[in-house]
Amino acid sequence: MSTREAFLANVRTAVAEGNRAGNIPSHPGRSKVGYQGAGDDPVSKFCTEFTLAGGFPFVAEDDDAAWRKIEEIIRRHNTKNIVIGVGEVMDRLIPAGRLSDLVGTSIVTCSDSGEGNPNTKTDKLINLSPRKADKETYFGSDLGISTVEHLIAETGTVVMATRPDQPRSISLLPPVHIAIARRSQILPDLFDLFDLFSPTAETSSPPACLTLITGPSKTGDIELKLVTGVHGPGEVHVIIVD
Amino acid sequence: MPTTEHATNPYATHEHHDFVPAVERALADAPLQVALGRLTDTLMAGNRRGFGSFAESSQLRDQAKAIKEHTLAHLDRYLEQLEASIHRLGGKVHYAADAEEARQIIVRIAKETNSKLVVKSKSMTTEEVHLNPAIEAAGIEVVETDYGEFILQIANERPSHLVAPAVHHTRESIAKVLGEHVGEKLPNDPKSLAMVGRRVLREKFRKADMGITGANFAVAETGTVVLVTNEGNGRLTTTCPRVHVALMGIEKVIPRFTDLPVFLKILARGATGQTLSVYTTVITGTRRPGEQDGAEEFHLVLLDNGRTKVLGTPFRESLQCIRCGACLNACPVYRRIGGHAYGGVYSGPIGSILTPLYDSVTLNPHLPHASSLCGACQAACPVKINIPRMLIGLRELQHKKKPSRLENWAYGTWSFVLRHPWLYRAALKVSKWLSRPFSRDGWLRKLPAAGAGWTSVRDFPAPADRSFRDRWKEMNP
Repeated sequence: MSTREAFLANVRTAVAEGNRAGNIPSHPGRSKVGYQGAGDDPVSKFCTEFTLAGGFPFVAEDDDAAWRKIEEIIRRHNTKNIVIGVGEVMDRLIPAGRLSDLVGTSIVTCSDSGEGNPNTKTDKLINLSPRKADKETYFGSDLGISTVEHLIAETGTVVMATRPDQPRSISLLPPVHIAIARRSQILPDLFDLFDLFSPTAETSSPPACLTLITGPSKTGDIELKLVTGVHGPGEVHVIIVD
Repeated sequence: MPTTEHATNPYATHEHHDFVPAVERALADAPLQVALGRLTDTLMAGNRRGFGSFAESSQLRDQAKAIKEHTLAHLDRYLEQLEASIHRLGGKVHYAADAEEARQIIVRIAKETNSKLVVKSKSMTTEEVHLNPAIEAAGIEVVETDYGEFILQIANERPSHLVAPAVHHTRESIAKVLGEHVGEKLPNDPKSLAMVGRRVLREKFRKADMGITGANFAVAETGTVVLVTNEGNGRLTTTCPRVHVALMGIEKVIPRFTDLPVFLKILARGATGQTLSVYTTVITGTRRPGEQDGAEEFHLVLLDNGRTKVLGTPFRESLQCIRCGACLNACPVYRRIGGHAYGGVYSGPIGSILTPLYDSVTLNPHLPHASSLCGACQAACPVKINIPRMLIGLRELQHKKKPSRLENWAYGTWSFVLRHPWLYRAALKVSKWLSRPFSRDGWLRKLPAAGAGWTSVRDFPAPADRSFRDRWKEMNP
């Protein structure tokens, strides 16, 4: 018998032995137990919970306000190297040239082709040539700007799903992460997220990696004193636009 | 000096069967007592807040328990389904019957993938199989990346709590250990110490070939492996290296993708009171075509190592444990003696069950008794494991293995006396008279002969001057 066969045979025997006592429960299935939802105002619920977790939410009244917030964060950190994700909302908020107008800032797009965000084209104008991101770029970056897959109001959570133009590193390696979300992306409850990605006849498999981010990276390993940013970003912003 | 104390504590560096001396040492360690009080008070307050503020948390915990019960009753089927799902995604599944096989499999994967540097995120299962020495013996560098585990690795110690492994360290002892490691004199403030860790470990992540993790859950239906961390090292370990190996006890499988939120909602609440831990990483296979990061190769190692021995017995319930540490924080015994005293990899109430079952009932005679059976562990447990029941079960097992004639005689006599009221009354009078010379302030602190075994470790209440029966008679003439 191969190791695998012997291993599974052992499990089978033990299962049968233990089940002899009877009373074998069936799977309880999906129920509404523990569904908390977000109440009347999911945006404010998200902001409350995300703040409690140590994150910085910002509800922008319009695209201009969103951009001003992004600019303020970039300037405050004296940012040199930005990695930026790709998406429709990104093109809208950060149109061509805007980031590169911040003198001395180099921008690297996460787009697979090195294109897809208008910034990459205009960067050439100020001699900061756009590059397709590689591992070293991410390790050397000061700030990541990404879109999100969803927000979860119940827990104050940012959900990232892997795609070719939205790598895991963008929300992981830079010390500051700005996530841009649209109101329509808010889900009330954690249950809703797993329902959405549960495999059905049409969709065979969840994405390679779903990451749920609830606040900045934290450790309490030194005398239980809370320290942020030990591995992941120490500062996480969520900017919510329409 | 606390710093040298920690460095030389033999119970911090090795597993052992010396429960009593280890307890005495822990009780005499003043900094440890401070740290344990701080940790367990904070986390228990979190546990109560987490469940208390969550409507239906009790019913949700029942549901989580039911899913675990169901899974364990069909574990063979779900393991095969998990294997099929992982194969479909291009991953490989390995079967390790014991610790030695697990070590061999993982070292072989490291060699076959030509890995020179391995990073690890926190995993009690890899502690259980003593993985690191085996990887180092193969000439491969292995680095723990959870901050607490990293400190323990460079101090050559073992974890003393499921979620706060370095709780026995102070900021001074961490500054000393880490300072020696990097060859600098470090300040004592937590932020600076954490950032030194970040700097050192970032370099390791940049160069690592292989990442080893445990698994909080694995979903049979989708082949998904879930990691929960607060620091983000679990994400780095699965994002930067090209190979990802997850080592997992067979009991960690759950049937469906939609079962995950049931457990995620109670895991962090039970552990720390957070609604969710900072990072929940839900990994389904390797990086897909066109993606820029994430492992290109995935291996899941399924570990038995004594679990099937337990699966067929009334101790099966212990396999429902999701390793949150709540029972440790709640336990009046753990709160005083800490994790190292227990001797095994797993400590606290759940460790008092797992260590005798996986290691040896005979070699760990004290563990099932390191409990007042107060039930605080069960009340705090997210899946409501009936730990007291199993501790009593282990005591029964000990008795069956090694019946004590003295104990049989004592309980036989006790039973006879209880069945004869006149004899009980007489015995009470005699014991009151006999114990008078030893009693002070209502307590017997030092008994001679056979009684010394009891009073050497605990006090015994002295018989009252007037018995309850006498007082009852007076009040109801």
